[in-house]
Amino acid sequence: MALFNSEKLCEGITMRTATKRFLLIYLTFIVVFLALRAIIVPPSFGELTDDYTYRWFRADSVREIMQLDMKFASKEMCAGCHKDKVEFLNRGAHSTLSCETCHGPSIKHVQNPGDNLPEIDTSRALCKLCHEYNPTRPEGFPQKFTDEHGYGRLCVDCHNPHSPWVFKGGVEQ
Amino acid sequence: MSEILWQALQQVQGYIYPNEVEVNWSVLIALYPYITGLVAGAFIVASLERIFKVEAVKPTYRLALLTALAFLLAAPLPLVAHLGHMERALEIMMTPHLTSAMAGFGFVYAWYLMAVLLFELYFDYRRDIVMWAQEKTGIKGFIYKILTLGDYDISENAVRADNRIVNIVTVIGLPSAAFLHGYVGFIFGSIKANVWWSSPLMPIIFLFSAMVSGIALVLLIYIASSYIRGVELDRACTDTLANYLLYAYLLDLSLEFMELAHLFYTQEEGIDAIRILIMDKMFWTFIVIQIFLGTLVPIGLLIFARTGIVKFNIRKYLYIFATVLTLIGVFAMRWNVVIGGQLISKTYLGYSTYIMPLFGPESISLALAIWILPFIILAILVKLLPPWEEPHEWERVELE
Repeated sequence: MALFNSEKLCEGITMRTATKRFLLIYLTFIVVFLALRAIIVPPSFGELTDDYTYRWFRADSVREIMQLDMKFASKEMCAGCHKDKVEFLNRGAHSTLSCETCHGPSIKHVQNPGDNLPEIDTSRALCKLCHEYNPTRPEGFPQKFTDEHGYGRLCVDCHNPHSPWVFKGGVEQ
Repeated sequence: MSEILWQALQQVQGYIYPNEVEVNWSVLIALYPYITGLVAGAFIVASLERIFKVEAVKPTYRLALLTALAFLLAAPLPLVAHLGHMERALEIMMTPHLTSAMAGFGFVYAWYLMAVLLFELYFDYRRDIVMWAQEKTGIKGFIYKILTLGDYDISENAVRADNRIVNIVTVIGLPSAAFLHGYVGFIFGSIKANVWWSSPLMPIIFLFSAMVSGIALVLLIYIASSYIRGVELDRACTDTLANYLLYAYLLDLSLEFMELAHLFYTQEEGIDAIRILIMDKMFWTFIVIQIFLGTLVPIGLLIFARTGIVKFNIRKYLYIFATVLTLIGVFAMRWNVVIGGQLISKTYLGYSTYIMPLFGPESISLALAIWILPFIILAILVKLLPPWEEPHEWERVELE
């Protein structure tokens, strides 16, 4: 019976005021943190995963992105109407490019061809995205953005952008 | 293209991958393991007195704890500044991801600050806080009154209970301190693709260099604070700390040597790239600053001081010189690991160059500001919680 002596048991677990209050501050801190966490973490967080590995994000973000309007049409869609242009493009050095790289996002043009002609960026700045000098690019890749080449004229003044080695005005390489 | 990327691009040597041109882990990331190491090292100095009962270093016990706290408070700043979006730092707490090694720091840090340092400091200082709360008035007295948490019991039993808590926390704290800094080494050592980093020895090397830098820092702060206060240095304490610095240094040196010996003996893929990295790209920071000035010279100075040929007054200057060199050398070690590992390309056929801007984010000025901050925090902490063993007002009367 001595084991269950309540007085002894209480004595064993008495805590001094300082320790008690110090631990209470910690407990408050943890409770406040958990409360904040419950508010801040979005409800759908991690919903798409059952472990910690992938999809550690807000599941609703995927659903929201799925609701966004499409902007690009894709090369296959362009080929549906502009078969000759796409075939010409596919024969040249720019065969890997998508039409919309230069012509801009064109889904509206597909939906309503008459009204929404895509805007074409013909500036040197656009060509620069790939053809500016960069030592990490493969050997033989044309990196022509020097003062000696082009004299500040538009690239498309001479090169046919659909097939850059076909020159405008009948010039052959 | 950013200006730094453009400058770095022009200094690329050989063949490297496109994403290796700019060194993304900047001087701030070199500063982070440095400050964290100082925390772990300072705590180990404190535990010398508590766990290993080295009575001689008692005068630095509380100073070491406060140093650890001041540097611990500044430790996440380089990371947070590097992150750019400071508020995102809390994400690792809000949505903890248990397989992320990077997020690990958040947990280790929180554990170390909350469960170790604050506990140990509070219960070590409790008796004094209660006394100060009764002595001091004004704002300071008010702060002490809050810190007592309303418990003014400083009877013998209460103080003994406080001591017991501190002893338990220190025993938990020692492996925690080792874990805190071992973790930083782990982050680098577990990057398999980088020949300069990938090594299971990395956490241990980081830990020992942390002890070296921590002991050096506490010793230097102890000497400086005694000078500022106009108090005589405790000779036994200074000499004992210097001896521990020497022992830690010898272990650190042999570990570093083992790592290099392993690299050069196994001759794994990429060893030629490492050879050039050490001998050419990092010749100054690795060979000259880290190995020679930062390790061999301080060890020589400490051994010379140990022989006892010179008097304490001169020995003191040897210690100052050795600790300053140590602090520089250990920073160079962090630099060589963090920056060096990024200069070497994964092609093993080329190198990039690190460009450190003077101002702006990830700049030398920001790194310096973060480096100075813990000293300011320490000064405030020392003002608030004087670590010196001075008798309280009524004790002074009794002593007279």
